[in-house]
Amino acid sequence: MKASIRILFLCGIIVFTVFSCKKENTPEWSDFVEGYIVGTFKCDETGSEEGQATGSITDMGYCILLEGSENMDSSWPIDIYTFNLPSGLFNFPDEIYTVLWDHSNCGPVFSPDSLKNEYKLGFRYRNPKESERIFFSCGPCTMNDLPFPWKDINQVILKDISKINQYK
Amino acid sequence: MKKQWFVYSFVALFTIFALTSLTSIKERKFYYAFNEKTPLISQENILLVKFTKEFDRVNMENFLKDSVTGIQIKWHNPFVVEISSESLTTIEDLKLKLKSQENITSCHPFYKSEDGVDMGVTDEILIRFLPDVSDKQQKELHDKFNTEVIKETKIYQKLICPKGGDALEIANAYFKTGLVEFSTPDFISYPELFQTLPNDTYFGYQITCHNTGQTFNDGHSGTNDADIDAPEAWEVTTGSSDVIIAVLDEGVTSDHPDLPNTRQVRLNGSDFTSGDNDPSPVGNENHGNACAGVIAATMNNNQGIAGIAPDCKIMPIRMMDKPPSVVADAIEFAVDNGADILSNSWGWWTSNPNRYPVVVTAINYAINNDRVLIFAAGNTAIHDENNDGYVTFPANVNIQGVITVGSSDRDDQQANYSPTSDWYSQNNQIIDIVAPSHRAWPCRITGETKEMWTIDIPDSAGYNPWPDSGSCDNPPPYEEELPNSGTNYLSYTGRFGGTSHSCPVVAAVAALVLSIDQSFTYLEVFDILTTTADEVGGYTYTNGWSEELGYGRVNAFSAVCEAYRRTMSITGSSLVCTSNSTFTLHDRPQGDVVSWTKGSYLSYVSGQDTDNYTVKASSSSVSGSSWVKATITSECCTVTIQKDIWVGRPEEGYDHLINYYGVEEDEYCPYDVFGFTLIHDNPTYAVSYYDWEIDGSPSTTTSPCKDVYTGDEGYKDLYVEIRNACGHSDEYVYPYTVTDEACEPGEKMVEDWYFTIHPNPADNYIEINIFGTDEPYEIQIYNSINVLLYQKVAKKPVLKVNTAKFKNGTYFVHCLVGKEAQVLQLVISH
Repeated sequence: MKASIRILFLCGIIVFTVFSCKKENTPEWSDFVEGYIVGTFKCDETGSEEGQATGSITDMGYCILLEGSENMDSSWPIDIYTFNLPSGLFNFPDEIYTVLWDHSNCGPVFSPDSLKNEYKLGFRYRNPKESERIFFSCGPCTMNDLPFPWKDINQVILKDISKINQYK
Repeated sequence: MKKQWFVYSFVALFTIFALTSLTSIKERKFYYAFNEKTPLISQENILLVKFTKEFDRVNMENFLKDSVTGIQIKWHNPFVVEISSESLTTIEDLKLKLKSQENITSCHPFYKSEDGVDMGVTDEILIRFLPDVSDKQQKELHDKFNTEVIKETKIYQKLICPKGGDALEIANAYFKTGLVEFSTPDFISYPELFQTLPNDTYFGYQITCHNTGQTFNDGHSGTNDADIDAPEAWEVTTGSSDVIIAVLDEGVTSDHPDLPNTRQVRLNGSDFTSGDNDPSPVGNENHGNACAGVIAATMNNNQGIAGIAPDCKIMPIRMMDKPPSVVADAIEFAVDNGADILSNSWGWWTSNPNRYPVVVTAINYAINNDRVLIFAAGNTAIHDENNDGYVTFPANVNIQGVITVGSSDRDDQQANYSPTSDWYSQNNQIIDIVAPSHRAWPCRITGETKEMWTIDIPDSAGYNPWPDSGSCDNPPPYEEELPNSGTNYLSYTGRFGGTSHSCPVVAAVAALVLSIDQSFTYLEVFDILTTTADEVGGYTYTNGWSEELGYGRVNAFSAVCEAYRRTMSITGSSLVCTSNSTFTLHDRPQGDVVSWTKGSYLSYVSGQDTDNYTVKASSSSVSGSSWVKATITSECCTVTIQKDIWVGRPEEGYDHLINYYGVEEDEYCPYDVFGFTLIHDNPTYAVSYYDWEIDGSPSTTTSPCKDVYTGDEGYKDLYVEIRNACGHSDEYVYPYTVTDEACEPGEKMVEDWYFTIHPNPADNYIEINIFGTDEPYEIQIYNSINVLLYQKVAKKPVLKVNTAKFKNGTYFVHCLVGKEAQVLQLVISH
């Protein structure tokens, strides 16, 4: 009798443990959309949103403006950004993909107007799971401007990526 | 017929003349300067309007501009505006339209005196009644004129007139009652400093330095005196070439027309961005120039702007766009190369105060080397959306003495983007001080842009012409030229702002302070800047500090005067008796004039107008706290230094006795020992001795502490007199009862002996007295970690112990008689 109670108690603990662990759901992928690479950045990784710098530098971040976006003419022409654009997809010139990045620019460097429509791609995207999210800090920045609104712009993960401007 | 026509004509002309005269008599205004009728000249094309506290300034400005065209607006304070136009018709038109506004309390033409001094009238009156006018009479008069007293000082009453009343007429009516010494409107009239303003072309737009409510960028106008009082400060100092301000930023143009290399310390290795020796900006990177110009642009060169500390030197260090380790290198470089002040208008957009430990450590290095570090707080707030923002890193670094600078605006209000302190945050979210900058970005408040003036990269690079297309953070139109005229106009810009602008303003004021005396420490500079800042904006200041503006808006004039004051000191005795006491003023600058004043109980002996001022007690019977003050007047500053003193013998009744529980009890257990301490409410007695008497047994101590053996039950008194060099106080009596009822259970003492220690705290020796026994006793002294330091068996009732080699600290003295032991605490203080 005592043994069966122990087994039942043990099972209860196992069931409780399994079901109490919150499963991190994978956010849904978007429909297939089109957009443009309009800027790049590299910054210092931080362990969390307000954490200390870890000493690592992020991979190259890419700013994407979606086709038909209302942000086209804003001071910050960006809808989403990603760190997982395959290298070699585009042959960026220095204006947009500078080799001098040293992870200390204050936010992204946007490409000149002449190149804003040049790097077009199609893709699906989703928000990262909390465990996938990359936290980072850019700067130093001069204090005569507004902060770059990172919190208003979604970090995303891309898939099914295709280059649309094949001639580039 | 002809004669008749002549008579008619004469009568008509006389009538016209009489009417005209009557009209002009009616319009002639005056006020009473005491008994003298003093004319006021009405400026009919200028209106002075005062609003109720409920009015909305933005709506009102829009109303005024929509109502009539061609008017100039100048705010004298948040509720009083001066409106002028070249056209009388416009003003008459405006008067009619203002009649519909319910939130106006007064509206008058602007008056001037005959010698041209502004004498604006609102709805307030200043009045002083004759000495024999009773309160009842005063009230009757106030009721008669329907006025209300809103302030009363020893000098005057301030009255407010009824809405729509004419303050000038009411003031004159008060005077005519014959019951007042004076009665005048509380004129809008500013004392003129006898100063000259710089001749720099765009100085009139530098509202940070000198805000008169003038119209400047984009048709904006601020509030009179919402500035740092720079011209007043320049009467004291324009800086010293020995004071160097490092501007860690995007670099500074070599030999800029308004900042020559003779006032730049350009060092090899100071370009950390490119790793070369030239800290000049590249491309449109004007931010470093902008900060440097605010601090040290040349004054009085008939072009450009005036820096706030134009005779100090800039050390440009180019370090933006580099990682934290390089930022740390740049800070170390500035310190190692002799910069006194580091101006830092940069940061990371995070509230973590330890984001980059290497930067925190570099800041510590600078502080430990006694450098003044000033950081911009960041532009993270959006107050019109109730977002208080956060103080960025490293402005929020948790190191005492680092100065965190927010922004005020042209009206001394918190700028829309300037973060509000969060006292409860773990992340040191504290604003220390603010300085003027622009009000808001256009995407937050329509019509606002950057509007601060400074230097620019010469020619077409930099901020003039404006390099970006119009947007939220880059507000001016693309290629706007501001300024677009004047000598080297492309070397200047009116488009700087944010906390980036406020930071070098404070850095420059710190430089002026150090120019007064370079030996001030970074903490003294922090203290001078924050204690002299103006508590403006109408915010709640607790102990001089507000969440919105920290200690307030920096004031250069007050800061340099305070610095000047702190270079001097008064020495002399803190006790004055009937013999002469001389007080000496030290370090008075040559040419400055000193004048002494004294407080109560003192008689002047000699030394007025010299550095050595001698006084004495006015009689042997006086006693009390007093002071001597030296007022030092230079050409521009008048400061006062005070030394507090005590005059005469100590005064009984100010003090009280507490036992070693810290309370005044009146019942004690028998055969117990209690330590009593006389607490001085007035520490300036300069006491030499304390004379005690317990149970008829007198004793004297040099400290205010006395151990008392309670002995048998009964009513007892403890007497004490305080002696200083002038005499002694009356006897202070402390009655107490010794009773079994005061004993805690088990506390009752059975010993009939006790011992005492004098003095305590002690220096080189102590005297131990044992009472109530003839038996031999043993004294043991232990330190705080229970190590035995002294041991002696004695028989005489008095034992002297040499404590000269004891270190400062607390010790425990054990006294053993037979098997019984008692312990007292001893403090050694050499």
